Amino acid sequence: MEPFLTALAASTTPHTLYAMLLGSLVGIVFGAIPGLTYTMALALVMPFTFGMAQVPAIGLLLATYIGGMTGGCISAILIGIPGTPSTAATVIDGYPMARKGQASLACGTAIVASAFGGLFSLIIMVLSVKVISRVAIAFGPAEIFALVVFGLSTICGLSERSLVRGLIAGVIGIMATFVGQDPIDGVPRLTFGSTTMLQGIDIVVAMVGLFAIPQVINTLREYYHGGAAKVDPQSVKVELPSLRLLWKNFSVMVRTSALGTVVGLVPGAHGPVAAFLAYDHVKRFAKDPEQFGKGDIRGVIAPECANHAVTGGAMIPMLSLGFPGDPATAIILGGLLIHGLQPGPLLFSEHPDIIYTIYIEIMIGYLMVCLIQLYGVQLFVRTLMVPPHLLAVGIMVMCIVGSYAIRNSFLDVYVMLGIGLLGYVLQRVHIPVTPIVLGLVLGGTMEREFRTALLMSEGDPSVFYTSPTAMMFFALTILVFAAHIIGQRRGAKKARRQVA
Amino acid sequence: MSEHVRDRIVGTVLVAFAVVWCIVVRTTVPTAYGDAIVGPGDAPLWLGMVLGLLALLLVGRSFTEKAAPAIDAGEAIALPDAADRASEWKAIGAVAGSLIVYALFMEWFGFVVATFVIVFALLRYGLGVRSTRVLLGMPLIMSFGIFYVFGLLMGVYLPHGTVISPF
Repeated sequence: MEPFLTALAASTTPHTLYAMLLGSLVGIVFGAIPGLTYTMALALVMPFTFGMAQVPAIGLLLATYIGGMTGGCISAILIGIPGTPSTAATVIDGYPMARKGQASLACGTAIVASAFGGLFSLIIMVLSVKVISRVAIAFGPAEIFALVVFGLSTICGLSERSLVRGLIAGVIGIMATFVGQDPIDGVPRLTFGSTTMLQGIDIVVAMVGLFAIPQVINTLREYYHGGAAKVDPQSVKVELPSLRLLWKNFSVMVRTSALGTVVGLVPGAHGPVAAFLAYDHVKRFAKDPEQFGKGDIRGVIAPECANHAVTGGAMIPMLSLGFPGDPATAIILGGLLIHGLQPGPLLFSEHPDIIYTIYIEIMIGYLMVCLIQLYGVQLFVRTLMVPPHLLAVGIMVMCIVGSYAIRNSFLDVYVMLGIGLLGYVLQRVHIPVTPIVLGLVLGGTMEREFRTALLMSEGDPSVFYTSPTAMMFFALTILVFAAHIIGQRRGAKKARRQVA
Repeated sequence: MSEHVRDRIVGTVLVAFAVVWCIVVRTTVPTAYGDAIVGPGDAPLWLGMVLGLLALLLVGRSFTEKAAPAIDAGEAIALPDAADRASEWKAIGAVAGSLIVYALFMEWFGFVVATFVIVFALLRYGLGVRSTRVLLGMPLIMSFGIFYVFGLLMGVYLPHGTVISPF
């Protein structure tokens, strides 16, 4: 009890709370602006922690992480451009809700769902950190590869009536990850001798282009076609989610948060995978799946709960084993090391107060970010009062800033534009762009883990079918694709009968 | 243009792309080193083949399916067929042109000057805005505002010009 009380006292000092407030705000801003990532925010706030005491320093890093994770949903819902890769799935239903005049309801629900997912995974982390960390190390390259393949099965849900089109988009996304330096041998691929191309296509740059450029072109097209659009004041009414609405979707929140926590455990699979899997899961088991994609609140709740539940899952291997699952937790790990803390099994026995501090600060971080954002909803939705053609100009500027700032490279700006124009053409020919993002997210991990597994097994492919975990994910993938194809055929037959 | 004809064109373009992709991968990327059975060029080659097969399937289905395929989920912006083509090309030109010029200006003159000039030009000449408040206010906020908040307060690196660099 004493370590807990010590941690509670240290985590609630004004100094720590100020640091966390600052981190939350910086994180929210970086998360909300497409192209600026919370990893970048963490890297930028890290030097500020050098002169700080342990507890406020950890609080600043954790709050920045949480704020950045949560902020991404705002731009996803309001302007249809995900602030972070994890919120790409939120666009599918969040943006249609905003277009129906339910922007604040969607934002408010996403914020509450995010906090719920994060706190849910925190509870799981507190209760089972040691047990779950054993599960995390049981995931080798073959199992991660199988999980990623299973993640690709969500393409079925994203391309409901034309699986071929969805698969084409997914394959294009995976192919884009091959440009640049090969992840295992370091061989340049499809760079055509250019050294700047060695860095490959950044997922955030591609995402900004895919979502923002078609949006801007369409807004300007409508403007040129019919003049300045009148802003509907109804679209900025502030309506937060009621307790009844949240209770009605409670099971969705619990299921998708549990899914996110499990996905968070697996290194290299994280937010976007969890969000897409959760979206697909909820849509697949809904009584009215046809409502998804048209502005269904469950399509906002599921990805937001799942991608925040990942935080707890990602923290478990970092704290208990000392290995980070993604770049953001790697920076947090670096912050802990700088302050003389070595994550791993010894941290639990030697510094239980620090472990409790981390738990408490994650909780405070989520509550703080939730309150800031709920208060800010009325401000965020005012973005919709700006005439669309002027907003489009602002989005263009932010696209440039965001895509340049990722790696300080002008090549990224041109890549963003090229991918954006491609995205526009694909939308015009009815090829969905969301599976491209999925392919971009999963492609690199899929190839790396596949080849690593084969290297470790000295070329023996049985590594994939002798692992029960890998086999389970492969079986689930086949099941999902089979169920989708059978469902499609039944639907087509039914439609033909109705016509007859 | 019907859905089927469009699918045939899209499928053919994708098949051609997949063939070119496979040839480029096969000729420029090594397949495997040493004892490794899968090398840097294998996965790109396989995926190129998969894309080609899927594109052929798209073309094939356009001959066998009777009803036009429905619009997929995830297409956030479905455009009406009757929409004005001229407006579309104008919008594409405005976006692509201004972003290319913007990136070039930013390289030469830095973020602040390039943003001010491009936002002003786009508002005045691209969108025909006449309000002085918008014409001056928006470029100022977008250039100096972003430079102050992100560049100075948050420490995000914004480009300095190679020709002139006042900020």
